[in-house]
Amino acid sequence: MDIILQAVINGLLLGGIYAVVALGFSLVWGVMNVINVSHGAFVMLGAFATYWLFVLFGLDPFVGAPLAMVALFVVGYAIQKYVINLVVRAPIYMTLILTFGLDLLIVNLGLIAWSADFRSVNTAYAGQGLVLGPLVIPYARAGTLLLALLASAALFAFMDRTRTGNAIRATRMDLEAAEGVGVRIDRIYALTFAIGAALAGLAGGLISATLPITPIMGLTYTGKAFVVTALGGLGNMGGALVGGIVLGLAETLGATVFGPGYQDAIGYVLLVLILVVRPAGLLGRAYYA
Amino acid sequence: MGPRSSFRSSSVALVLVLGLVLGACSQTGGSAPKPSGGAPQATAPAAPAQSGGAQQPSGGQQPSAGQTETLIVGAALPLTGDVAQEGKFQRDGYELWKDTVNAKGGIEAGGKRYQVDLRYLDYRSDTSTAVRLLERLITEDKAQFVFGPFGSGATVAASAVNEKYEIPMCSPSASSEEVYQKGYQYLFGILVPNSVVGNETLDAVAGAEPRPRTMAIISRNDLFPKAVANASKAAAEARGVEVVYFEEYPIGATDLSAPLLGAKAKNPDILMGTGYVNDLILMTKQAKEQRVNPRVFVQTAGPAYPAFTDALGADANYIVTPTWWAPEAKYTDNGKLFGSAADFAKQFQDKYGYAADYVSAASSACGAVLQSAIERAGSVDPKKVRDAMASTDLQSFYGNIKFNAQGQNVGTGVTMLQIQNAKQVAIAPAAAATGKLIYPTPEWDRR
Repeated sequence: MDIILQAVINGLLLGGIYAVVALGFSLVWGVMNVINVSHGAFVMLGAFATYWLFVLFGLDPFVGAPLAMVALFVVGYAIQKYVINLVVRAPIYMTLILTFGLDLLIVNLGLIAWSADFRSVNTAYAGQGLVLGPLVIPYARAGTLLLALLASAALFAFMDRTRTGNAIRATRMDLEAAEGVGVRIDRIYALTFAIGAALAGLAGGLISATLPITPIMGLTYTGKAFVVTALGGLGNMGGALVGGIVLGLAETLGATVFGPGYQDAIGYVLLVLILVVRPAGLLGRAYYA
Repeated sequence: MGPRSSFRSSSVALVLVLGLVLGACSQTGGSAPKPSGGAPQATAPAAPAQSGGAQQPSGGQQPSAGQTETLIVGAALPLTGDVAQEGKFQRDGYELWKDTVNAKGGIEAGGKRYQVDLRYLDYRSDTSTAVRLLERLITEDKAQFVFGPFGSGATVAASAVNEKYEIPMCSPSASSEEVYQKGYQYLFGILVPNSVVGNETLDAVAGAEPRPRTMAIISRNDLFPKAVANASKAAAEARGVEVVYFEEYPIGATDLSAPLLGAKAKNPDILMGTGYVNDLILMTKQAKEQRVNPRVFVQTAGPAYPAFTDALGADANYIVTPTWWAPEAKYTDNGKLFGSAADFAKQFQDKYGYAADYVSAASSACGAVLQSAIERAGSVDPKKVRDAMASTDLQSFYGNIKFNAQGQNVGTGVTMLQIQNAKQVAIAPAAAATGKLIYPTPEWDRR
């Protein structure tokens, strides 16, 4: 029983990582209909930014990750304005191809700059956790889950309460109508992509606190982000959070019950199931109302 | 197209793209999804560096004493990707041998001297690329001999190529017996078999008091890690230790908490983890997180590298690992090439600024074996050199090297190390030991 409980805890914490990775991905997809295959590369950039801040300036990753967010915001804005913008109204395959190429470019630049060696951020509290009898809650992962919740809440507040956030939602609902009421679509798109990249950077920074990082780490996370978004559904800010937690739990419990060899397969089985049973996702709306 | 069906079609599209990409890259040990594209790190096929030498030493040359020719040796290496660290160790080992032997005047055979020219291509830790690039080294770069890629998985695949072209290959990083059981005549391996590793590992820990009774094994789903896990399981059972948990994790796993939890549930005395250095760093970190407290934590092919202790610091302490070579070992070639094991370690450290481990040592040893075979054969004809390699009985800084009928080295045993105070300490065999096994391992909360 202890094992199942610990697996549940581990699953929730892993879900926190997945949720924060998927948050930006789902935002960009929902608003701009752009499936950003290079999302994992932005996660990687955020991870390395946080790593270098730690190594060069001694900044804790939970401090460095927000700084990485800012850096990735700027990078994302520039990339959208000059690159992604070219294919925003083009067929979906064009965005896939373009973002795939972008991923190749970013990852290989990373390999040239930092080599394929794995790096670790070794904080003093790495591996420490809250011990409750036979159960352990590692601090770093708990912090990640907390920040995932905070980021989701902040994003929701931004989208709901601010003028710019409303403009983004308007763009998502009806492009022409938003244009008609004076929303600057090009700026909104650049802003949305930048927020997506910033969230990816945050995710990367948090990941660097718990796992070793390498320039080729990104593709796994893009895959997870895709599954989480499909699970949670588009058009709803809570979707990434719910989807992430569900995936984390499913993977960890599944690995405990069926064996670790099936861990990655479980996510993709879930993806197929959700597409068959409830294609809009757990929280998604079938129609962007 | 309504939103619902465009979601579906974009999902299908992405699944297809992901499937293509993952299919292209999910080979054994592969993780970098870069099909074609990036420029491989190859030295351009250049003119021979030495004066008066023809590119291909063959019959019909005027064999005057002192004439210098070039010997091209090729190696496909994982210079980027999942096992890039190990690829670097191999390259540095090959290079040190090349520089040492060239500085001593080159290899002498049949009245000629050969300066060694090493050619590398980066296979990005993807096995199928390794096979392709090895073929290229032989057919386009005209490599006369080849050194192996990293690991049993890549070696067993690549060895089919050099066998086809009848070019001898020396492998410094394949210890699984399966690699040598295909009946190939042109493959030689420096690392002693996994069965030796399994037996000596269990000998080092099974006798400690209080005697361990149970063992859990977490293995990477890859050729060498699985093979050495199985060898250790057999060795454990032969010594009355019950294996209560045996699970595999996929290549490229980023979360090992599930198998660690499963092992913890069985409360094993010995926990064994197999994989490569990056997996084992992750495993150790998560073992600490999950508070997994075996009496002894054994790992293969990771803790012997300085990179392991650099990444983990004090968290690496108490881990026991077998290694195929250690600087403390009392091996020497009596000044012929490198000297003793300690001499080699110093030369390596001076040249590269980091400590040699068994992979880099075995790589230099491959060079020494090739050199010895060419000298004994008196020629660089691949068939003659192959025969000379098969009959190798060499004293070297790597110990006694003697190949069995399958081409695997059975000349020495392994050294057991334990990490103490974030440094590797040899604990067995007695002749090489500089410390003693600390057992049982203190619990994480009590360190």
